[in-house]
Amino acid sequence: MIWLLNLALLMPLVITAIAVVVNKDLLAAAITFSVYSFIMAMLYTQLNAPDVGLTEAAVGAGATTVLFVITISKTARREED
Amino acid sequence: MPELFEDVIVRTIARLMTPFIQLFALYVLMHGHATPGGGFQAGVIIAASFILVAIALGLEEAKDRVKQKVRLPMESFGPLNFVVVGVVCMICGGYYLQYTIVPLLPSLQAVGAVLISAVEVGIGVTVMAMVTTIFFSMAGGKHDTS
Repeated sequence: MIWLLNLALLMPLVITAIAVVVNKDLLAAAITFSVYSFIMAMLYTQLNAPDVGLTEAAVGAGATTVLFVITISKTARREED
Repeated sequence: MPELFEDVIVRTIARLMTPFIQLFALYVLMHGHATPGGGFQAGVIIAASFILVAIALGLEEAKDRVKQKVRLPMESFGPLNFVVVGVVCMICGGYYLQYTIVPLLPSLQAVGAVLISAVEVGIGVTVMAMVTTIFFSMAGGKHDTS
């Protein structure tokens, strides 16, 4: 039955990863990347690596998202082609 | 940072949450030798609480609470603490960071836990000061180096 949990975690992981790449709105991409980090933290915890999961939740979802948002607020929000 | 978002709910929740986030960080720090967590995670969580203060109450308020002249020695405290603990183990006749050689407590495991916790506290203080400094220097103005 663990494959059901893995499926419920991996499907949004793939969807958010693709959404980060294709999104032209960089602020939305940064927030989506924070969601990706949270799903990744849950996956690490499920894989018996709670240490890595705690780090991913604190650094990936917390600190780097704030740094991304600061960078976007200092540059441009829309990606130019 | 853009202009401050003035909202009484956001400010109150940020004020209420900050001590609990820091308490959780201390739990992660002090149980790091036996359970998941450790100095790096605890430092990042405390830095996240300062980032929350900066977002909700303003950057100047957060800079007042964690001043630069306090952060600078804290950034150097971790490596110094690491070296001191390691050299104490060498003075007691063991290798560098060989915790169990130190005649501090009768139980070998207790000595290891205490000294690992001492190293972790130094790592946590350094990581907290560094992440806070990175955030402040990125969020501040163009020529603001604090």
